[in-house]
Amino acid sequence: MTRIKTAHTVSEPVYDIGTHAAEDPVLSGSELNCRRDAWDQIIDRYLIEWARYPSRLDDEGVIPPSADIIHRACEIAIDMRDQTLAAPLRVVPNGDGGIVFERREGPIFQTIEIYEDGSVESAAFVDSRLVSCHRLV
Amino acid sequence: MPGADGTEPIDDAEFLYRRVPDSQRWYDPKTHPQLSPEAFRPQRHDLTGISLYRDRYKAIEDAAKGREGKRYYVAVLRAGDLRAGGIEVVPRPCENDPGHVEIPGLNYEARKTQQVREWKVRLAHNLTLEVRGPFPPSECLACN
Repeated sequence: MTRIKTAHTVSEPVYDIGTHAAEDPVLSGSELNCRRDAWDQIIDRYLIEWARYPSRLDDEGVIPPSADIIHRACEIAIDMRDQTLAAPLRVVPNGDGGIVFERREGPIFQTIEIYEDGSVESAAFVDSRLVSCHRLV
Repeated sequence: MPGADGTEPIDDAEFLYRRVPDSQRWYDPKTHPQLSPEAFRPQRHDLTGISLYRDRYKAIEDAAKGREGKRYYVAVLRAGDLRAGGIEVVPRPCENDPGHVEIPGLNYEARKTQQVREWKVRLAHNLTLEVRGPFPPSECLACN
């Protein structure tokens, strides 16, 4: 499984909210399990369900993600789960064939977006201002 | 509204409605109370801007009518709040929809610009007054 790495910095990162449990001495074993469980819910309840029942995402003016994009989102979610990163608040289609993970940590709102062409980008906002944007591999 | 055709300027005090499909989970009060910025993302048909509706021309239940058999929420915003946030909204009446308006800056070609990224977040997190619904699916009139 490829670890998520930053390929290109569009702007300098101001905050890094990809807190790794391994670097955080405070998290207990049960807290680590909670993080993994939260990711598993995201994967099972949404990504896998969308792959099984793609017509559920069909609606006016939107383009559902393809099976390939859902698969890519699953890979990323599994990778982030295995790195014990904090789980997202939600995962949603972007309406244009892509998928977005949304996370919040304090004042920072972060998105990880898989576009319809398979490219992946992370963006962070503070008070609705874009403070960083990275292309990921 | 008698004598009005939707071309008159939008007053700051006017409420505007943005239809949000339940199917996309951009609003899911059971899991998270805040609207997703994706509810304001310009889609491929949004060539001149995303659509909203003026409450003086359309009841909220009618603003919630989209594809037959699907359920929708409606996000409520105020025109003056958008303008104060630097977001222009303009009347774009259609033949059978005088209350149709658009946000020209939120168009599909500009979808990956910094401005559109920020405006989506601002609209969802700061400028949406409330989200109402879900409203029941519209029926097939030919079936009744």
